[in-house]
Amino acid sequence: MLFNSLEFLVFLIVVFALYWFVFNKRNYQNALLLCSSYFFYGWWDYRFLILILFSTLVDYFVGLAIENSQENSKRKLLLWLSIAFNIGVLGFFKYYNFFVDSLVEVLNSVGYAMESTWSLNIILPVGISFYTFQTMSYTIDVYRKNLKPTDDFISFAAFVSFFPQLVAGPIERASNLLPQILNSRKFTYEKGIQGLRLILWGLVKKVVIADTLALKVDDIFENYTDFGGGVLWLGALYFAIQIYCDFSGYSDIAIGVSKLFGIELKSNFKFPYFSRNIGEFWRRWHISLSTWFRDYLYIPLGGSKGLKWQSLRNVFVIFLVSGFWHGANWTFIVWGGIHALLFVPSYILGSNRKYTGAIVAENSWFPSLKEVLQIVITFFFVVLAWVFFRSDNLTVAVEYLIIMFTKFDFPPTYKNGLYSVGSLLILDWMFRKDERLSFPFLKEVNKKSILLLEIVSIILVVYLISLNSNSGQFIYFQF
Amino acid sequence: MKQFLKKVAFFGLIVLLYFSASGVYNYTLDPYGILETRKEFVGIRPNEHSLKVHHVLQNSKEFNSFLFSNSKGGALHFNQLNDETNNWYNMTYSLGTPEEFHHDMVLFINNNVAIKNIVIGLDEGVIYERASSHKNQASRKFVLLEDQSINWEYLFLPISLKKFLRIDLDKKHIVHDVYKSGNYLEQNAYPDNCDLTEELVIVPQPNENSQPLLDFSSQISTLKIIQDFCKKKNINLSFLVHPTSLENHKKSEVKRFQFNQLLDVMENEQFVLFRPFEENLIQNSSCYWLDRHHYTKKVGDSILQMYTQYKDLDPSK
Repeated sequence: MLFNSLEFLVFLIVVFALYWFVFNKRNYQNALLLCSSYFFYGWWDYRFLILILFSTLVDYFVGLAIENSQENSKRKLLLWLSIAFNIGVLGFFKYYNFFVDSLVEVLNSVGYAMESTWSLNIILPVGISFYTFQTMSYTIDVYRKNLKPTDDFISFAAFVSFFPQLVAGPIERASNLLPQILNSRKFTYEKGIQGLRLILWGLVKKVVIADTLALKVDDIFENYTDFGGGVLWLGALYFAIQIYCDFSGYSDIAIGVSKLFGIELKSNFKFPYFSRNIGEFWRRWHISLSTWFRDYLYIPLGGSKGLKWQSLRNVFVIFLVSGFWHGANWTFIVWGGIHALLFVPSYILGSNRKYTGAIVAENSWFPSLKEVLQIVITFFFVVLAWVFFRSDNLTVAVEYLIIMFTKFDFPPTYKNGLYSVGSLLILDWMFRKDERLSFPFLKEVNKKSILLLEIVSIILVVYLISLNSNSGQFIYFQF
Repeated sequence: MKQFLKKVAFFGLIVLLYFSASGVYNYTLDPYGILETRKEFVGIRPNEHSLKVHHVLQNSKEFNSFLFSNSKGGALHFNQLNDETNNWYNMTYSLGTPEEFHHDMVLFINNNVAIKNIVIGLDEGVIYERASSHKNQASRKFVLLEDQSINWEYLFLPISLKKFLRIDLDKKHIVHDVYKSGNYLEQNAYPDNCDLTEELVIVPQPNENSQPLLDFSSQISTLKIIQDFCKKKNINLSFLVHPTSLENHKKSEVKRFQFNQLLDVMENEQFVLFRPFEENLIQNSSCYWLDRHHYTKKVGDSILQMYTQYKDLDPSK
């Protein structure tokens, strides 16, 4: 079920009504959340519900067993059991064919000719990368004694499958989401309205911006040899905005829907395209994933402690794994590798943690010239890396980049594209101080204008949804 | 909560009003013809596939010969070959695919349409277009209008101001002659100085770089199903290969090359192909081409003439 569909609207209204007016006791609400989340997921493919259920059962019992075990070796064994199960499921469904095909290619390239007869026709279950990471973090936190496991199975299962963020994140930590599910929730008017505004804002990003750009991006990337470098630059810029609006739009809707149920999710995006270096970009882009890798991979590997080469190795490991997490294709791994290379200079110079706090130009309208340069350079490299992310294979990506840098013609008919990219970035700039998207500026606007704005936005979104009834799925569903 | 629900109800009302307006618009204008409140489609493209099938099923005794093709075959007015025994209907529509053609043939036979001749027009679309991709397209999704169920989704399609105001009628466009011969009739299509009697200028196809061979097994399998079906039902079947414009060839050289590969594979598989211009291309001219893809009736008439000679040479074809 897509957030930008009428069936989701009906689903949301029914679940909301049952949640607050029929099953308004905590236990019933959690049972309802669980059932509705399974229904939401089963709408795609009910067969894969069994995977979520297994993942839930394994981590529920492993969590309790770790808590009850005093021996370190046994606790460790249980932890590895959970990790092996989750990574095993993820690896089989997402990466099995990639490994088999890559092995066959390697064997062929060294002269050992063979055909891939082991490849399987495997369907990738939607959201598997998200919920397996969420359950794993629970078990690791219990193992680290950062979290008490719950014995309330229904609540735990509702935490794993919470429908607003089940299929494309944000990947919530048990320490944030589980206590909210275990405790009573209260509805407030402010939260409800904020939730609705976030849903509307997310839909505008997805339906108005991302889906419109998707048509142009697909055309340019599929026929890249027909265009000059100027148009390919525009295609890469379009994709940068498309993926940002698509994914952050989904996160906004997920956060907004959760608010309607009295639950607060963490921010997943904080205006990443205004980052002053790659380190800051990764603190603002897909935050729930980058912090996951930081806490559960980078730090256990040794983080920045130890010898310099070891820390650099750790940096490369998390970026490459992060790329690989996105999909079983070398393009994603190279994308991760490029980000690692971009990160390394600031890491060696010790400036990677320079911009950990506020957004650029927090207290002024405009950034300084130095900041403008930093933002432009960072954005430039991020856009180049997106070419690998979007391309079907490495050959296409390299050819695309070569044309970008060697054929400079730019037909005037495409100049409107540059204006639209510029306008969208300016719009994003205007919102940059509102990291939680609570729209504080609306307090200054009179009620009639707000109402008018909301009405226009609703009509626009509904119109565009109906215009594009086969609207593309959210890009991150495939990961 | 009460205050929140009031606000939500207000927003809900807006959504409801929007859909009511689009419902009234779609029912009244019926741009795709699916709600059966409209019969003429001047300047707009209806759901030709569903309407044409519906027309044939409603007039099952009137037609016994059919041209199946994508929109490229619209200008092939086969009904000009009508005689005492052959009554042609042009079953072409936008992005038609062999899977759909087979589906329609079966439907016709099951509904007592006595089919004598079938011509299937082929171009690059055979390789790239899939019937499954039409499911979400209002203008291409097949709807069996014989079913009396209401097609709700057509009531809630977006309002198109262009269609509502009926603008663009002065521009070159197609009139969909669904309820007579199925032919496409061009409006404002030719320049005034177009000599419709002059000879067609054909040019040889340029040499192309070789491309890796695609796997055509699914296309061949669908075409074989059609061939077997026609054989079993004693229907004369011809595969017609549409000509290509020089401009289209230049724009999509790879696709054209792959299409030629498909034709080679078909010939190796013993399919008999009618290729009116062999491998030659037709020069760019507004007399010959409505756009880079669709040829005019002038070209269509030349093809028909060649088709008649082709049939005369060997009536069994």
